[in-house]
Amino acid sequence: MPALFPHWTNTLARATLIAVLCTLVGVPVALMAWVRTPNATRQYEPVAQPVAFDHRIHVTGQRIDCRYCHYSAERSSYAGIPPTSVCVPCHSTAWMSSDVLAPVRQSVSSGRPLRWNRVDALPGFVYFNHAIHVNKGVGCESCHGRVDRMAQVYQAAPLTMSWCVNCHRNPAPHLRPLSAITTMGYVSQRELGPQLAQKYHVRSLTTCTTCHR
Amino acid sequence: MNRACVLVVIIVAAACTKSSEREPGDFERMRIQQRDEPYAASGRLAIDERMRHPPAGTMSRESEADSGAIGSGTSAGQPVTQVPLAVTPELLALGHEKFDVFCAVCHGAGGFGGSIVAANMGAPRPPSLRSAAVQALPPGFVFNIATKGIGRMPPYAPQLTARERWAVVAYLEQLQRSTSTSAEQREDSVRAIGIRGIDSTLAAEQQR
Ligand code: HEC
Ligand code: HEC
Ligand code: HEC
Ligand code: HEC
Ligand code: HEC
Ligand code: HEC
Repeated sequence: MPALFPHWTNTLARATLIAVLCTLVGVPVALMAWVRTPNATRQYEPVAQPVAFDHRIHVTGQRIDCRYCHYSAERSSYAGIPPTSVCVPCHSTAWMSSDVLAPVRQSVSSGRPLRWNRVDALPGFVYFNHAIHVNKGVGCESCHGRVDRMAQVYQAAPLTMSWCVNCHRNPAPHLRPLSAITTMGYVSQRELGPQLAQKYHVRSLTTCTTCHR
Repeated sequence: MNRACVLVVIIVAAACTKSSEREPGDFERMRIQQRDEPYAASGRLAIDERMRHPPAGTMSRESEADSGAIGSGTSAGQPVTQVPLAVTPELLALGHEKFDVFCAVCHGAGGFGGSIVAANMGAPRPPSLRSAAVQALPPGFVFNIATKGIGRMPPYAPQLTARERWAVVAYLEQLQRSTSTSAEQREDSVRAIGIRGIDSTLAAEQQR
């Protein structure tokens, strides 16, 4: 009587085992790799806004400091988006009547805030605070990139946990003097980092409760 | 047995949420929580904001009215003629920083009114703060301009605390006393140097 399974089925059984193992390992690894790609973190994706507000015009062209508009960055956890009343004084009446600024005009006259779309967003279970970073020498550029070159703001950093923790493990090389917090295109100086870390009493915060509280 | 089943169903059902509260395509990783974020729309209230405004006719305890000359810039109805805080190097440094962020935008880092924004604004243009007329203004008056705005200039009370506004006034006084070159030398931030550069060309033009 011939064997029930021909000889080649041995190879098939081995191949199947290997394939199953590969799938068990490969699928989670692939998924883990995928969530770190810009596709999944929405990095570099420009976000359309109700008003075509251009940071290039205002920051590079008009030399307005970030804190003129995002003025709560230094003293609260939120950097904040400026109320439309901040836009009015610079934009003369002729401008305000242009179509581009119609939503701003409406918001000012009705007292209803303009709804901007969020660009950088952390999940609800992460605690983040602007004031501590800004006051300990972490510049806007380190996390938001070259905003002065963005026609539409996009998320410049992956905002994954590994990204946050990487800096928290050793923040010194990322620090800059407080006078250069909003400077774009800051060239970091190697020796300055540790000195600044000492001056601003910067700690390395990596316990889970720093960010998950 | 039946009771155990009911118990299991209750426990499992307790973990359910309305599908509208879930992020599509996400496996309920608690990324969106039932918590109000600042600046979010309320969707429920008449004014569509989650951050509430103080009720009309109320004021916060730190607000100006009850804190004398420091809060109001006036004493006995007259603008104070001296900065009511000790003018220390720290206060001047604070004033320098805040002036560069909030005032230099329009009045120029040197205070000559030569910023790029001023050139684009059209009349009434932000005036020079180095003119004799402005130098003659008492500090309490300048403080009140920073607090409440004047004409086309908006109020800066939301952006700057009373102490910061006094620091700006003290720094402005120092700036008015200095010559423009020494102001340039004290400057360290790249952006403000840019503004000062434009400023000093304007000052040179005015002298010509
Ligand atoms: C003239 C006012 C103004 C200035 C100056 C300004 N911004 Fe903004 N910024 C805005 C407004 C309005 C928005 C909302 C619209 C948008 O996202 O484009 C915004 C959005 C942003 C966002 C995205 C916020 C989100 O939704 O996550 C970032 C990041 C940002 N600004 C950083 C900066 C930095 C860094 C600077 C300085 C280099 C700066 N801004 C200067 C007005 C300003
Ligand atoms: C400190 C002054 C200043 C502030 C504050 C300011 N802007 Fe501007 N903005 C300007 C100037 C000056 C220009 C024109 C630049 C040019 O024409 O080269 C401009 C240009 C623009 C444009 C392009 C206009 C066009 O016709 O294409 C938009 C849109 C705009 N601003 C929106 C805003 C909004 C929204 C805010 C409030 C968050 C704001 N701006 C705050 C000074 C300002
Ligand atoms: C350590 C990194 C980091 C630094 C430094 C930083 N930001 Fe942010 N910023 C973030 C993150 C993360 C978010 C998203 C916060 C959230 O989703 O709650 C954010 C959000 C924002 C927003 C949206 C509104 C808000 O407050 O959530 C603005 C505007 C902004 N940042 C501007 C700035 C400016 C201006 C500076 C410099 C003065 C700055 N940021 C410095 C990480 C940073
Ligand atoms: C480029 C460097 C850098 C990055 C990126 C960064 N941080 Fe930080 N973070 C710091 C520094 C420096 C401190 C100040 C440490 C100290 O207090 O001495 C800090 C402090 C904090 C604190 C304050 C802890 C407290 O005690 O209040 C929180 C919360 C925090 N970071 C959260 C985050 C989160 C969340 C992210 C990612 C979205 C992030 N950070 C990304 C550098 C960074
Ligand atoms: C510096 C800030 C920081 C610290 C410290 C930190 N985390 Fe996180 N964590 C984050 C951020 C930011 C995210 C969100 C990443 C994202 O959006 O995918 C996150 C996400 C997570 C998630 C994933 C949730 C999900 O659904 O993807 C887990 C689990 C987690 N953290 C556990 C921990 C533990 C355990 C520790 C301590 C060893 C820790 N974290 C320390 C910032 C931090
Ligand atoms: C948006 C542009 C803008 C900014 C920013 C600004 N100002 Fe003004 N300022 C003006 C304009 C415009 C006037 C003229 C008002 C008028 O006459 O209608 C003015 C007038 C003044 C005057 C009165 C000058 C006089 O001739 O009587 C003083 C003092 C002054 N500003 C101080 C400040 C200080 C201090 C700051 C910073 C906190 C500041 N300004 C920020 C636009 C600005």
